[in-house]
Amino acid sequence: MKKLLGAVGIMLVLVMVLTGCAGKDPAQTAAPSKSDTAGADAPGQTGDGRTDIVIGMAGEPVSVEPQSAYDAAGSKVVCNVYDGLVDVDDDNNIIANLAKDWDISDDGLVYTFHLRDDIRFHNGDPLTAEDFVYSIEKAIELGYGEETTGVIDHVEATGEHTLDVTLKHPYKPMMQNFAHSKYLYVVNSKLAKEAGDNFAINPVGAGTGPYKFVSWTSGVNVKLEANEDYHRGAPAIKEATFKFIPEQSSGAIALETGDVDVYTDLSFVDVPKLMEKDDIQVDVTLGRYAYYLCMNQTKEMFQDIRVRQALAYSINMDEFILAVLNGIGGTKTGNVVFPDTFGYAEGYPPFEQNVEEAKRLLAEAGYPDGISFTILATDGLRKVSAETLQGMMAKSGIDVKIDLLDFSAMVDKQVTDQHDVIIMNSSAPIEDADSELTDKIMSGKWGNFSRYANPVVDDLMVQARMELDDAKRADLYAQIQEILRTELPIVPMYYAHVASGANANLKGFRAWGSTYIFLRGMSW
Amino acid sequence: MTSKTANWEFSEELFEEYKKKSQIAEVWRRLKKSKTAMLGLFVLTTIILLALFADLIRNYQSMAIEQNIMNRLQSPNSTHWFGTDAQGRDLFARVIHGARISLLLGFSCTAISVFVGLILGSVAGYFGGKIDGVIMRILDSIMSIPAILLSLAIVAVLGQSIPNLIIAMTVAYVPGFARIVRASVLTVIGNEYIEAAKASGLGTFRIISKYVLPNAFGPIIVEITMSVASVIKAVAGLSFIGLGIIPPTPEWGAMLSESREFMRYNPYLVLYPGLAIVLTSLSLNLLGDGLRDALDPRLKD
Amino acid sequence: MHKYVLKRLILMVPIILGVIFIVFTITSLTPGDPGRMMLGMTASQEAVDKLNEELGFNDPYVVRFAKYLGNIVRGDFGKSYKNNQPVFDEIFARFPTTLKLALASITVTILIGIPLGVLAAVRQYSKLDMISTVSALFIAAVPSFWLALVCILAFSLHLGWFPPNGIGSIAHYVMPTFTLSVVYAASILRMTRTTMLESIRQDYVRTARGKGATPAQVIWRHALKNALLPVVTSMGMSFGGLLGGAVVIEQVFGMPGLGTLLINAIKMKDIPQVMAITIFLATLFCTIMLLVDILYAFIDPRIKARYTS
Repeated sequence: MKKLLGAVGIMLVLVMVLTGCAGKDPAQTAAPSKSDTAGADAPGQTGDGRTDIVIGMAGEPVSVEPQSAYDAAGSKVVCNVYDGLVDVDDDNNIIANLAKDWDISDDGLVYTFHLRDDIRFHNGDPLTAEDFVYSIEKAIELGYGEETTGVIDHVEATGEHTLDVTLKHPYKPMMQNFAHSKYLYVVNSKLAKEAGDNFAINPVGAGTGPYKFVSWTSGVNVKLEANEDYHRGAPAIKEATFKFIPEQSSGAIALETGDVDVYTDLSFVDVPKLMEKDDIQVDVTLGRYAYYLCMNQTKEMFQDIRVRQALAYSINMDEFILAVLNGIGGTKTGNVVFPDTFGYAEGYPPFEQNVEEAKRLLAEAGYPDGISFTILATDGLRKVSAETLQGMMAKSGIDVKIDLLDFSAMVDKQVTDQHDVIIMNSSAPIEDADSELTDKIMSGKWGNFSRYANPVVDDLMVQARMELDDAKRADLYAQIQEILRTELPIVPMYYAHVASGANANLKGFRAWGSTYIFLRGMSW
Repeated sequence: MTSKTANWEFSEELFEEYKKKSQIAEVWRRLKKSKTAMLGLFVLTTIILLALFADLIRNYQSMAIEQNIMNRLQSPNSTHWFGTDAQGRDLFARVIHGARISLLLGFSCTAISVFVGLILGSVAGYFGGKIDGVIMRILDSIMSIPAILLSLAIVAVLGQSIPNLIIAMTVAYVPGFARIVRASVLTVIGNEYIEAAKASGLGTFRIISKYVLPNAFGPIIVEITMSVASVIKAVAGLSFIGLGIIPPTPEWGAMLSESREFMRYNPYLVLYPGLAIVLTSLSLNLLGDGLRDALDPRLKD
Repeated sequence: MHKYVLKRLILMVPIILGVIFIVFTITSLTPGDPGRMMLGMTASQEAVDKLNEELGFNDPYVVRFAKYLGNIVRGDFGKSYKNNQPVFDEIFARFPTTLKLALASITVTILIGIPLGVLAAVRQYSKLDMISTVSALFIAAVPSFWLALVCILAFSLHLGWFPPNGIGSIAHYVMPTFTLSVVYAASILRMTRTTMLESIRQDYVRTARGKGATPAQVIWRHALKNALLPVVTSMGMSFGGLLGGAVVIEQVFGMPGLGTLLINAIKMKDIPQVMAITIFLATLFCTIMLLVDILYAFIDPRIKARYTS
C-alpha cells in the first residue's frame, strides 16, 4: 500500500513537472495571478470613490491593432487606446483632435492636416506625420476597412507635423471617416515595425488615446490603464478590464452579481428582467447594423424580380423579431438606409407578410409549385434566423434548406458564389448613405453577395459620392432608393438594436450603436 | 465459456444448439432476476415505442416543426405537456421525435462500429503478427485522441449532417469494439474446437464467423448497450456546441443549446430534453449492467 | 525495469506518429482555403492563390505531410491563422486552466470514488451499497454538459453561490470540477466495488483473515491493494478523458482552457492550432498511460519479475 501511495505521488509529481515545464514562460504572463484578478473581479457594491471598471463583452478581440481589429470586441478596445485625426461632438460635428486644423483643396481631393506638435505616444515617443502615413498605408494594405480606406489614393508627410491625404475622387463624407473609422487611428510606427506580427496582440505603448494598453491574457481579459497625459484631459476611470464572457446569459448574471460593471452585449431575453432591477441601468439603442436577405442573382431563379418580391412577402417581420430577438432586438424596415443618415429617403415602409401575394408572384414567375433553396448559416443568431425564415416561408410554398457551417466555410462558399440566400448584416461605419449602400448593392463590391449588378445604380452611386453639393447628393440617393425598392436586389429586414447594461452608479454610461464603447466620459 | 466443456467433440449442430438454447436462455433467466435490469429494459422499451409511434402521439410537421410564434415560451400546461419553445413549437412533440434521432444515431453508430470492430478485431486477433501490430497501433493512436475531440474535428471537416455525424462517431467507437473482439479471439484461438475446425478444412472466414466470434458475444453485447448510451450523450454534446444537427430537426442536444438563453426564465426548456437523455442512457446502462452480471455469474454473490 | 520503461517509451513513438498522421489526414481534407484563412475574408483571390503557392498548400499530400513531420521534429508546429503567432504560445497560455481543472477533478474523483466503492463492496447489499451503486448508475447516465447547465441554473441563477462563467478564483472552479468529476467518480466507484468484491473472495484474503488480522486491516491493506490495480489504469484513462471531456465543460463555463481554444480553432478552421492541440493532448494522454503502466509494473510482481531478471 505504501509503495502504491508512493508511486501515485511520483506520478503526480511527474505530471506536474511535465506540465510545469511546458507552461513556464508564456503561461507565467498569461495565467492571471490570484491577487490581480480578485481585485478587479470583485468591484464593490457602491460606486463611491472607485476608479476602476470591469467591462464584460461577448467576444475576444481578434487583434488590438486598430488596422486589423475588424471585430466588435477589438473595436471596443482600440477606440480607447488609439486616436484619430479628428473627432465629432455630440451633434456629430467635426472637431479637432490630433489634427489642430485642416484644409481641403477646392477639388475636394487633397486633405491637408496640421497635427498638434505636443502629442506623445504612451511610450513617450512624439507623434509625427510619418506615424499617420504608416498607419493609413497599413490600413489600406490590410484592407479590413475597405469601405473607408478604399477611397484614399495615397498619404504623404509634407512636414514633421503636416499630412496630405489624397483621395481617388472627391468624397463629401470623408471627414466623417477620419473621425469615426478605427482603421484611420494612429499607431506608433516605430514600435509597430519593430514588433512585426506580435504588434497586433501586444501593442504596448503604441497609442495616443485616453487609455494605455497593459496586457491581453488569452481567453481571459484585456487590461488598460488611464493615460494621465491625455491631451484632452486624464480620464476619471484609471483602470479598465475588458473581460470576455461569450455566453450572453452569463454576462447578464455577471452584471447582476457585480462581477462586471458593464456588459456590452446583453441578450434581448435578459433585457426586460434587468430593466426591473434598481441597481442596474440598461440602455437599448439602434445599432449601426441593418439585416437583409441577399439572394444570389447569379442563380437563374433569383434573377426574376417576382421571386425576390415573393420572398419579401413571405416574411412576417413582427413575428420574426419576436421569435429571434425577443420582440425588442430590432426595428423592421423596408429600407436598409438608416433614418438618421444623410441621404435617407422616406416612403419605403416595411413589407407585410402576404402569403397569397407571394404565391401569386411565384406562380407568375413560373413556379406554381413553389421554390426551394438553401440558406447558409452559422451557429447562433444566423441559425435561429434561418430556422425562423424556414418556418415562415414554408407557408408561401417556399422550401428552405439550411446549410449549417462554421464561419470560415460559410465565407468560403459566399466568396465562391455557391450560396443561394444568406442573411447579411453589414455595418456602416459612418452615417451616410454612401457608406450604408456601397458594399451592399454596387457591382463588384466584396459585400455584394446578391451579385446585383445594375449599371444605372452603379453610375448613380459614383455620381453621388463625387457630388459635393448636399442637396444634389440627397436627390441622387433618393433615386437609388427608389430603384432598390422596385428591383429589390436585397430584401431589407430590420435595423438591429444594441443592448448594454451597467451598474446604476456608473455615470456617463450608454449603449453605443457602433461597436465602440468610450470609457473616457465615464465616472463613478 | 463454451470451450470449458471437457471432452469436446467437434460437431457443428451441437455447438449451435448449445449456444442457442442453453446460453441465451440461461442469460435471460439470470437477467430476469435483476430488478434494475428489468426496469432498464422496461424504460428503454417505452422510449423505443414512443419513438416508433411518435407520429401517432404528436404530429411531426404540425407540432414539432411548424412555428407558432405567438404561442412561444408557454410553461407546461394541459395542451403543451412540456411547454413550448422560443419558436412556439410543442416541446413534448420535439422531445419524443427527438428520441427517434437519438436512438437512430445511437444504434446505427454502434452497429457500424461493431461491424467494423468485428472485422478489424478478429483479423488482428486471428492472424496476429504484423497485421495485428499495424491494426493495433492505428487503433491505439485513435484511442489516444480524446473521442469528443476526434468527432469534433471530423464533423468540422466533413460538414454538418447526420451521415457525417455517424461517420465521426463510428471512427471514435470502432477501437473499443475491435479491442474486445481481439481479446475474445485471443482467448479462444488455441482451443481444441478451433483446431478441430481447422483440421476439418473450414475456411478462415467461416472459422472466424462461426466459431470465434460467438465467443465475443457476451462482452460485445454489454459494450453495445453501454456504447449506445454513450453515443447518444456524445451526439447531444456535439450538437450542444453547435456541430452536427441541421435545424429544425428536433435533437436533444440541439434543443438544449437553443434553450440556453431562455434557461433562466423558462427552466423547463432545458429540463425535459436533458431528462430524456438521462432516462435513455440510464435505461441502457441498467440493462447493460444486468447483462454483464448475467453473462458473468461470478460476480453475483 | 529499465528495459520495460524503454520498451514502453519506444512503443509510444508509432502511436504518436499515428496520431499525427490521422490528424493531418483529417485536417487536410478540410474544404476551407488556408490562404484565405490567413489573409482574411476581403483579400483578393490572386493574393490568396499566391500565398497558398508560397506556403506549399498546393503540394501533394505526401510532400506536405513530410514537411509537416520535418517541422515538428524541429519543434515548429506552425503559426496560428488567427494571429500569426506560434501555436504553442496559445497552448501554453491556456493549458494551466485545463490542467488545474483536470487535476482538481481527478482528485475529487479519487476521493469520492474509491472510499465509497470499497465501502459498497464491504457492505455488499447494504443500504449504502444500494444507494451508492444506484446513484452511480444514474450519474453515469447524465451528460456532463447538461449537469453543468443544471448546476448553473441552480447554484448561480437561483442561489447565487458560484459564478457561472470564467476563472480567477477558486469559486469559479467549483462547479466545473463537480460536473466533470461526478461522472468519473461514478465509474471509479463501480469499478472499485467490482474489483473489491473479487478481491475479498481471493484465497490470500481468507488466509489473512484466518491469521487473525482485523477486518479493517484485511480490507484496507490486503484486499484494496489488489483491487486497486485495475482502478489505477482506469484512473489513467479517466485523466485522459478529463482532458478531453473538459472541452465541452470549459465551453459551458466559459473557461479559457484548451477546450475553448480548440472549439474556436475548429470553428475558425485554424488548422495548425487544431493539429497542435490534438497532438499535444494525445501525447499527454500517452505519457500518462505510460506512467500508469510503469506504476502498474512497480506494483504487479508478475510484470516486475519478467523484466528484472
